[in-house]
Amino acid sequence: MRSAGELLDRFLDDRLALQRRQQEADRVIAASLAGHLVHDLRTSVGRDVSPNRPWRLDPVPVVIEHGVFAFLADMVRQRLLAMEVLLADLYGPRVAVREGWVPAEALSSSDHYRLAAIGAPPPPRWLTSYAVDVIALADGSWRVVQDQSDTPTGIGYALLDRSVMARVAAELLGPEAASDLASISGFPAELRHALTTLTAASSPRVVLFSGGVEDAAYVEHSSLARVLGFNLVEGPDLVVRRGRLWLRTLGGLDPIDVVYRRLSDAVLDPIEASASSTAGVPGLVLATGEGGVVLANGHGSGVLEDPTLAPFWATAVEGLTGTALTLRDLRPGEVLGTVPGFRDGHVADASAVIRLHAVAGPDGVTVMAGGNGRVLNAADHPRRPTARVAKDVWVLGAHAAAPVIVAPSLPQVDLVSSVPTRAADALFWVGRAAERAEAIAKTARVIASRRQQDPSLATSDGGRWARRMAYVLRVVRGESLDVDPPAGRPILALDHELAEATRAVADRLNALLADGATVGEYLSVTTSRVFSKLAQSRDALSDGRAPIDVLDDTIADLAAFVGLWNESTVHGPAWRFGDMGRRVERSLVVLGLVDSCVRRVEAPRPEPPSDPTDPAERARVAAAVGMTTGPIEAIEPTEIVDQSALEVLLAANESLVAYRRRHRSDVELAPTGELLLQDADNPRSYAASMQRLAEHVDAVEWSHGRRAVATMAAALDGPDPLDRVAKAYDGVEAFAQLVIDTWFATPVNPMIVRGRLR
Amino acid sequence: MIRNDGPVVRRPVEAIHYRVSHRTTYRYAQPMTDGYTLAYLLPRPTALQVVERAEVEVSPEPDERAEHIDVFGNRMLQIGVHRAHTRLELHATSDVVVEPGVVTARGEPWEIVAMRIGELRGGDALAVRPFAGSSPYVPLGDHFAALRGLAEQAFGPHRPVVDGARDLCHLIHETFEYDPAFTEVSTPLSVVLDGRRGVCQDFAHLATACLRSLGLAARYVSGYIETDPPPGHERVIGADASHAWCSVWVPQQGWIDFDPTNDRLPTHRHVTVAWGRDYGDVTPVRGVVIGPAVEQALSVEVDVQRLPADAPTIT
Repeated sequence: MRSAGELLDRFLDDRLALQRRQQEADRVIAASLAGHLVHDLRTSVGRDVSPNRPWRLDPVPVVIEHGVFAFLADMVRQRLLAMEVLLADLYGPRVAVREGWVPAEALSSSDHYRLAAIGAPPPPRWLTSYAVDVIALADGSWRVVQDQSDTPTGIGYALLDRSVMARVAAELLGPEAASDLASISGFPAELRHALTTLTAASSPRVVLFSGGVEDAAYVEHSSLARVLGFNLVEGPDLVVRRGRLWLRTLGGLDPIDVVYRRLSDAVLDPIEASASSTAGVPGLVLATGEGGVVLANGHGSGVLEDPTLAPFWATAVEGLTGTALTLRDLRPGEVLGTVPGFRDGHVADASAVIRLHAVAGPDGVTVMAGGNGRVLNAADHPRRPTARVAKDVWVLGAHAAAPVIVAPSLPQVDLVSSVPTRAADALFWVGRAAERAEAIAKTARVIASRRQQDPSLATSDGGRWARRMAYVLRVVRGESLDVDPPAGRPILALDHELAEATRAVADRLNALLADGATVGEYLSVTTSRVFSKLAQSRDALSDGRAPIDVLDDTIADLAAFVGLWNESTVHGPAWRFGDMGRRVERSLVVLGLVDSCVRRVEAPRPEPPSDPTDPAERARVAAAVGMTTGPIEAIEPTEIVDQSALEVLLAANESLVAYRRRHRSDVELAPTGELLLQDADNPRSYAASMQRLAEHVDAVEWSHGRRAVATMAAALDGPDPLDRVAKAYDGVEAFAQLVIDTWFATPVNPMIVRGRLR
Repeated sequence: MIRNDGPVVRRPVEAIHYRVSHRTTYRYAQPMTDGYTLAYLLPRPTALQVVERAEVEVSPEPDERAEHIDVFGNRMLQIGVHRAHTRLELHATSDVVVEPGVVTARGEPWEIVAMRIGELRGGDALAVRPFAGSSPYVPLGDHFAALRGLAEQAFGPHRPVVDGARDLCHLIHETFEYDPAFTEVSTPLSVVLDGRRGVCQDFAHLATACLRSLGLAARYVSGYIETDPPPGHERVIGADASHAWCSVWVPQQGWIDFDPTNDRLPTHRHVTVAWGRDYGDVTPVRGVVIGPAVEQALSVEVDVQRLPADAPTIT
């Protein structure tokens, strides 16, 4: 086996390979961080915001020889167990305080010390997951930088980094030596096993409690929830009743046994005295004290992270356990060692902090044979690296036993009682946004290309075609039948509406990405890549001047999203509510498009000139109603306009080919209406959407919904369905509201109330 | 608490029997679907105070209700109303017998006391030292020099600690203006320091902060005070208010209360409810309601009534 140094030297010599690996890493990370991009850009649509890259992965790993790792792992193991003893004391008998090892005034001054946890029944274990940042000194010895005991972050990032670096490993080590690199892929199973055995419950319900998409580590939360197979939940998903914690699901309240919290101690419970936000769950801390739910890590464990208290821990641990901690804390003035790295195209040495992760379960403490390396800039304090450069951490030569994969005993995601209400709500809107974005994009695409191919059409017949198409666009982007017809010169109105439609696509994409980011664990892994591309399209479309091919990209990416949605997602209730959203929106789209193509639209009635003698006022009114090109007109069907509008209608619904196959004639109104409204074999038709909705409401056993769908489906039965389109549209909107009221009625955010003394 | 400028009762007094009524009402413009409330309204027994009866009536009838003892030994009431409600009322009534405390000792020089606090071990370390540091409403770090400067005006070198605390209360009373319009519940200490005005809660925090800046241990005490009507006026029921003061630890003596708002040592006219590091630990009523973000109105009525010595206790 080659030494770590030799391996790195070989790698560092190949500048081109490094460059290639850097680009690859950048790409993979950008793709997997779609959630981050959404978050950062959510409120800045239309502005030129360069993509925020939270970190870059250095293609050069930190390589640790097995012997060194064995020493570090023993250190982490010892430290985790010692810290549990310390926590049990700080919230229990407080011997360390009585003895003066930890000054009481310093402890009680700490924002991290939770008074409510003092004397409360201790958790079954204080630190299920634990991490410690260490750094190598120039002389090769190791020091502790800080403990991570509250919500240790980085397991998910380590897995992600490794997935990128696995290719580097194959290249660098060669296939025969690849087994020299210790695997970290079994670590999540250790974590899952540790969490599920924290309670005596036989089939425990474990949730990953996140602060939501606003949390800087949300990408990790989402990926970990998926890897672990736990529901990702947020504050509003949870409720405390009768001393227990419950999850609001589509099936009602479902009891929670273990909370893998990614939310800090300080915000867990807004009614706790010093709570600083409303992100948590009211009453959670008291429920924990009453044994109604297990928190991992225990409430209060974050106290270890207080930098003002950290200097006291070594003495306290030694006093409590009789054994000194193996590793000393880093002291000012100690000379840090460096490791090679690749930054900005150059090979350079820098110091790196390494975060080592451990999981404590019933079978002991397992230390991940890897970790998160973070590069320090020259003047950085090791606690706070400013360089956003991560390094994968390789443990070589371990030949460690294959990680024990614990058979998961997991809640199935396809039970009504397992889907958080909020997730179903978000998926419903994801479905609606995706469908609407696609409809607007396709309609705009068809109209824009006709306008390009046949310029005379735009001005022919007094601009009737242009005016009709502008109206169609307005209906499809306005998401309502009751929109005013466009005013002004028809050709200008059409161009205006095309730009507005493009912006509306960006807007719907933004909604799709924002809601989609909150339910990442219900979407396939590949979806994040599609989201990342849709985010680019959204940015390109948001100024309304995008060329047609951007619309084409968007349409293709939306098709990819829907394909993944249908083919790579379990068809359980979560999927069904998302699909209900799509079908509801598709029904509204097809009804809206049919109506906008065939309705006789009243001419706009502008305000009369306030002063008819004023030429400027008269000109304003004339311009408003398009008088420059002719008299005030209604949008009336004429043969050529009619024909073209129907073709657009069919094309936007991907039904033109189907029409041509069936009907040898020119496009005519009655068969068009039949194909789009009543032909259940056409997947775009209203009837087909109704069939799917009926399946969904049956599957979730919603009898009231079943009747509502039956009524909706019958709305167009009988002769002259075109006359009843507007009524059917109202029916679909009412059904959408019924879904929301029945299934998603969620409370708004809590607010803190406090009295005042005088 | 309105500043009480009535004559201080100087004649020796027997134990006095008070009946306290404290009604807190929240009204919401639209129904709230869920409400969680924590209340520090049940008086704790103390060396000088016997609590004969204390109860809190809650309306609407709560779905959950539990009493806990917190880390400082206070009685904490936890209330859950898990159905739509536009109003929440907590009406606390208690019968309390207060014995006048007599402070005779002047204590050791404050420097000695501060040193002794750092040396406390065992149970004393747990009971006293947590009150010698910063806390959320009493942050020392940011204004240490100003607080220490103020404290040193009262605590000259070697000043006995009780005398110093008395002078500090006098100083705050004389140089800070009582002004309910100036501060609100979340007004930071720095604003009180700069504006030199505030209410009892602010002055209790200020005194606590000054004492802690010297290395002394000081508690924030929440409770009530018996007030006198303005001369020539009838006593108005419900016109009293919650009150707050502070308490300083003196070796061999224990905790001695001081009321900077009224510049006096609380004796028999103060009823103690709870104590903590600051207001945040013992907020009389706080909580979280879940519902639409609409206006909420809070009204508080407090009445501290002195009962005749032979009045029967309501059971």
